[in-house]
Amino acid sequence: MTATIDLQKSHSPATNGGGFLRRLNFGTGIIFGIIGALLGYFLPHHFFDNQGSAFADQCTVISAVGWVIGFWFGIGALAGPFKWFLGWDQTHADEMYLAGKDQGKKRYWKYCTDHKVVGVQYLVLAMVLLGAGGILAMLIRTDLISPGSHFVNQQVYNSFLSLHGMLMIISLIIAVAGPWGNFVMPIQCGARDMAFPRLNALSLWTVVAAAVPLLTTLFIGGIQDGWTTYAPISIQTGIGMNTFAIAIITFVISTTVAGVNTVCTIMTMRTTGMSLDRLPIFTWASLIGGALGLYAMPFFATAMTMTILDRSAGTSFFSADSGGTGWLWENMFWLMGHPEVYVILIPAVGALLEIATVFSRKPLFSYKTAIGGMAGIAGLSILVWAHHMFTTGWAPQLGGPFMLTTELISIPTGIIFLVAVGTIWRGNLWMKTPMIWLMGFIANFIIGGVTGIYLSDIPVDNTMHGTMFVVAHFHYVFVGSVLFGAIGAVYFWFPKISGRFLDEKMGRISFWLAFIGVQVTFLAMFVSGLRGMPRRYASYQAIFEHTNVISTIGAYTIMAGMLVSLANIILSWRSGEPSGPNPWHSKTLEWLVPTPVPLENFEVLPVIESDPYTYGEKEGARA
Amino acid sequence: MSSDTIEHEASHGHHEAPEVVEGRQRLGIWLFIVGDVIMLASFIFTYLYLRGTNTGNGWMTYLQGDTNAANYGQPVHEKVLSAGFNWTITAVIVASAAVVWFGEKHLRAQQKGAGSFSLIAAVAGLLAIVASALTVIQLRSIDEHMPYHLLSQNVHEFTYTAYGSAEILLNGSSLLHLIVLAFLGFGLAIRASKGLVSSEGLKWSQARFVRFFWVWVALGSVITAAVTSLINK
Repeated sequence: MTATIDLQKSHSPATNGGGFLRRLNFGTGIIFGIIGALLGYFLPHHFFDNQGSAFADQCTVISAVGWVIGFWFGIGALAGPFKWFLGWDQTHADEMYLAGKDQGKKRYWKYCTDHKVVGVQYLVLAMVLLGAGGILAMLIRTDLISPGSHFVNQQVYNSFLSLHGMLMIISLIIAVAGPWGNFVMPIQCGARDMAFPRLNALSLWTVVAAAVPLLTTLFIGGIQDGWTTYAPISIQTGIGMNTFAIAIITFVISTTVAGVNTVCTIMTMRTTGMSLDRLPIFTWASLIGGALGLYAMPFFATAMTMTILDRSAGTSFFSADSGGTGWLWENMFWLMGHPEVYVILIPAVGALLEIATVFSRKPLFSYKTAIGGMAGIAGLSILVWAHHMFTTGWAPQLGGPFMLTTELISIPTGIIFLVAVGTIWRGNLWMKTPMIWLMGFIANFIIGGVTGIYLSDIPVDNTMHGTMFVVAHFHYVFVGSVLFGAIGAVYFWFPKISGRFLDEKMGRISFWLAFIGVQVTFLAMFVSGLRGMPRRYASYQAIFEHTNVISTIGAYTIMAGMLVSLANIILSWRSGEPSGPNPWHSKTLEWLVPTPVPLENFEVLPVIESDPYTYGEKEGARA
Repeated sequence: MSSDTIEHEASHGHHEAPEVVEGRQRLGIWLFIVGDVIMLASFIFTYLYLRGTNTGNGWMTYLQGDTNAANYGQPVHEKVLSAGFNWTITAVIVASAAVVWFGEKHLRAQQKGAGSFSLIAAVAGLLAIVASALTVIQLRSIDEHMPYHLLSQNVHEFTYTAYGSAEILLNGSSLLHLIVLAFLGFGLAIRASKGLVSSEGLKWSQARFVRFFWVWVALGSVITAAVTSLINK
């Protein structure tokens, strides 16, 4: 674990004794969360008519809300607003205590405002959620190993499939932007912390608050309607949908808070000389990803709010027999859904471009074009949502324009490829593990990207949309590209958070297992799709058996690769080879501060006089 | 950005100038407002989309569900919510925003501080509570006109029309915002009474940022009232 040290000797020491608020931690969060959930479940019995069919929905909704509020209270997240209300402002000692000063490893279990602690907390949380989603993926693939295997029954299969999808989406949203957008980005800017440290802790613990009701769905009947929870099925399915919806709304609160904090940090806390054209590319990616999330995620909260109201309050947003329409859900969902792909992807791309320049020992190829490419992707991503609805019959006259915008987005995406390849081209390549994950990303994202262009064409989409071809396509993007980027980022920045290297040999074994596994799993899945195998099904015709067996073997191989990396992280964190403060001889600011990083990052703030990618140039040539 | 390009500042940087902190907080509140604008836009999109599609002519029409009535199964047209009452609520919200707006600006210009602002913030908070109460009445009026469908013999399940649903969404959202405004108003009143809101440094900026949000909520209320008054049947 990171052991930050405090260089600001002039600070008054934080007091450790006394005060209810100082005793709050993850454990009290759980306790108060459970109390809130129980109150939320039983109070409606006294206030509502428990004869209606919506009563169970009302109870689970209020119970899930009670959990979230109780957890916030128990972890200390509500202390700030209420102290503000009562005029009890924090003292400097309070702020130092919240920042985890002199609390050792305990601060990782608390509402800690130090951005580096939050970054490590995000890393662990992302791994836990990815692990849960990965286990569900293995169970799904095990069920699909033979036609009609009945490894799990069809309702359970549907629950696994739906929860796997949403768990993976949430964990990938936070997999890069969470750990590194918190630990690394403020230091790259030359800031002492995020713009709003308490909101930073709130964003982290709100994801935890969301994860519990999300996982709870499995134990109360699950969600039967896929991760997209299309209406009106979502209105008709069991009570698990209620906790799922509350989990999503809670997660949206987290992403909104995180987006505001990220944009504010980058726009207002850059150190002297850190002009926008000197920002490290990962910081640019964090800025664009954060702003895009701020735009996209409210649509998801609105859609889920309407789902809850339809289920528990008698409204008719999605019920065609009372004036509603399922297309409203689809529009709302995909207004969020497609930009969200790039909220996930862009930070991963930023991290990989950092790796490309450091391990090629070359300046980033066409820095401004890279920024333009990411901004172009973000801008176009809000204009492509209806390509997910080509087969629904919604507004067929808009098919052409949406096909065009979808194909246009391949241009800025291609630019990002050119930047990555141009940076590597004729570089003095240093093939350490982070670089190998970058190579894997490039190979996989070409396949994921090109098949995306196929699917943007309406005739092809009409044929392929309901098949495993689409599943293979987006898994090449999410697993082969984003997850590879996320893992590459871990191998790259791990020495900065732990002071130790991840083991190279284990890293390479992990990479090759994952890379081969991705090809085996998803190329076979492309074949299943091309042969017409429908997606989302728990059983299938015998003609698809061979490709499904291959996909299942590949999935186990990916899991093996992930487990090797997990073991690598755990072992190296305890006893890895010491790395020193700048093992990769990088020039961005996070590598120029000591390891462990001091509480406020810099003893004195740096003044920046050149861009961060002057590799291969004579020292001082650009100063 | 090699290490030799890092130079030490003359002074330690962790004591930031108030205007720097204020600028950061101002951008933060504007970004939160942007998120809220998108949320309101999605609500109004919902309202207009349901009105535009009018699936099965069900925007405001429902089937008579009373089994004892002679006209069972006949379509009934739902009443439009009172536009006058809607605008009354909006007027109260706008008035509360005006109190915050002019009060904050006037006091800042006069270099006056705590005591006066405490009263202004409390009045604004009270107006927010009045608007909340009126919004609850509006929500209950939707409830009173709630149509229902007969799902099975002797079991009535209540279902709002698409119009009623969209109004619940908009009014519910407004109610949540008003509760936040009341919290902020009374919070500022308490803080001002303790001397924590004054014209010195950062202490005034909180009042300004609350004003930004307050004005946005009022503007959102005007937009919502205009849309639901002009486009309904």
